[in-house]
Amino acid sequence: MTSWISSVGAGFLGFVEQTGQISRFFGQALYWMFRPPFRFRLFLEQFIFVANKSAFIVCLTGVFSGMVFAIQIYFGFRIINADALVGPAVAIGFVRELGPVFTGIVVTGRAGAAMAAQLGSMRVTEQIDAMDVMAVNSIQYLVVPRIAASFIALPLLSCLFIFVGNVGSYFTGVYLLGIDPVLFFAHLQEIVQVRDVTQGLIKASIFGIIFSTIGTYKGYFTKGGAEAVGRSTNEAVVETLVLILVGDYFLTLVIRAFLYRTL
Amino acid sequence: MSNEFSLDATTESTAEHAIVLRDVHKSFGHGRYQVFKGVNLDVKRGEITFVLGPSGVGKSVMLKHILGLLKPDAGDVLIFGKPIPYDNASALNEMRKHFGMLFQYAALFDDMTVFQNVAFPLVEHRRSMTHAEMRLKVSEKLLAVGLDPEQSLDKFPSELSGGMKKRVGLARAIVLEPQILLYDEPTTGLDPVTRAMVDDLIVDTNKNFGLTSVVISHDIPSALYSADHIAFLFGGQIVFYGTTAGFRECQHPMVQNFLQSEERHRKEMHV
Repeated sequence: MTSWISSVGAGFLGFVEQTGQISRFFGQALYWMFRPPFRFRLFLEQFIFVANKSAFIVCLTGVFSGMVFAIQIYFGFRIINADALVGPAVAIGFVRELGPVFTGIVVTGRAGAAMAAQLGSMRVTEQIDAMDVMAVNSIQYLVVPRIAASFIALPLLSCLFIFVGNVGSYFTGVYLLGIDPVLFFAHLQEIVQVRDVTQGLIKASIFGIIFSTIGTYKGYFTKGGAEAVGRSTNEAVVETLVLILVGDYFLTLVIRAFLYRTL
Repeated sequence: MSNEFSLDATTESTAEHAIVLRDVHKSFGHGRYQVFKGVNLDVKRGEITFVLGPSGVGKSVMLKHILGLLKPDAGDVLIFGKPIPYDNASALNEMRKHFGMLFQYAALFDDMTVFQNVAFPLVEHRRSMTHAEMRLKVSEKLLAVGLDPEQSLDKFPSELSGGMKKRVGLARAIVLEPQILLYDEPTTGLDPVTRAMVDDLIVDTNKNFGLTSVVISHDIPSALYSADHIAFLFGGQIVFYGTTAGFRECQHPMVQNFLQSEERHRKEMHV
């Protein structure tokens, strides 16, 4: 019993300690983000890596998610003769939740894991130490461009996900399920409002910060050899996914309180 | 405090020692692991000083103290007579520009060519230099470490042998023309021929560029061949400091143990 309590306590302390360390790490990145030299070329390289190279996988997952949600919602709504609301229902779900969350998950699996692996490999081969010894701030050089690029890229990828998801939903709804194409998006403007889009974009930006900060943190502080790089990558992906899904709930509450003035 | 860590002519001329560690104490894990218990070391200018000691004794920790990557719990680290400006990031970076370092496995950037690797400090700290000037400088340094620039400039680290990586790493370390060169286990894991090559490289580089070199190692033959002075780190202190001849005569049990193990190894090789 005592050992069980102590292990829970140790786990909790570890969680608090790591949260503090990640916050401090992010604070350092933020500090160096606004200090010269500004490395636009590195930012662009990371932006291309996060955004451009994730676009295809985001489109692929987006279109199939839209299609399957259209089917599931259609069979629910048909019972109450609300076929015409399938389009808007998919749209609002995608804009508010599925767009940012799914994009966050997909990009974490690709770019977040890659960030942890790249920096982890640089750490264990002393490349990060070499940078510091050469009087180049490794956080500014390696971490800042990745976080800045992810912060901007994720909302854009999320928009792409939402767009292709709705296209998938439209084609499934109209051509497979036989919903009238005029009715499909007829109520869209009444249901989906600008603040819903704002909500989705804010979430996506925050998820961008979360996955890039955890990915770079895990990589930057990798200790050991090749095995440790694998461990860091694994931890980065698992912890990011948990944080995105748990954080999404609290973010929703906070954003609704500010943007909608209600829960 | 000044923003710059300048080593002006006065400072350099008056400082007999390039690096001084004065009664340095350092522990980790909230005091549980005491690594340094009053380390004293004077590294003379223009010399090659080897810091020897068994694995895990804190040799790399000493390097990190010299570079200002770690701050002592107590004691002082002086570079050309000036204390390390720990609390001033820009002055600390300025100080580090006076150092070059060759890492154990060279620590070349995987995604950069040899040219980009060696030019990296120039790109970062000599922003007014043109590409052509950088190319010239990089070629000059590659030649100085025995590499043909035409053959190597566009290669990636993955295409280089261990010895070539060390040479490129050394070229990168000297490209900003530092006053102090640090080596972290430069001969560990190398074949005897490459090891001898690295030994010569240490001596030649130190002589040709008028540097002060500190070599962290546990390679006794290398130390006896290249060093002007040897310091032996054990039990959190420097238990021996002297010439190579003095090192052979040292009666400290751990030094004797080190020398005897090396002797036994050498004999076994000859059997």
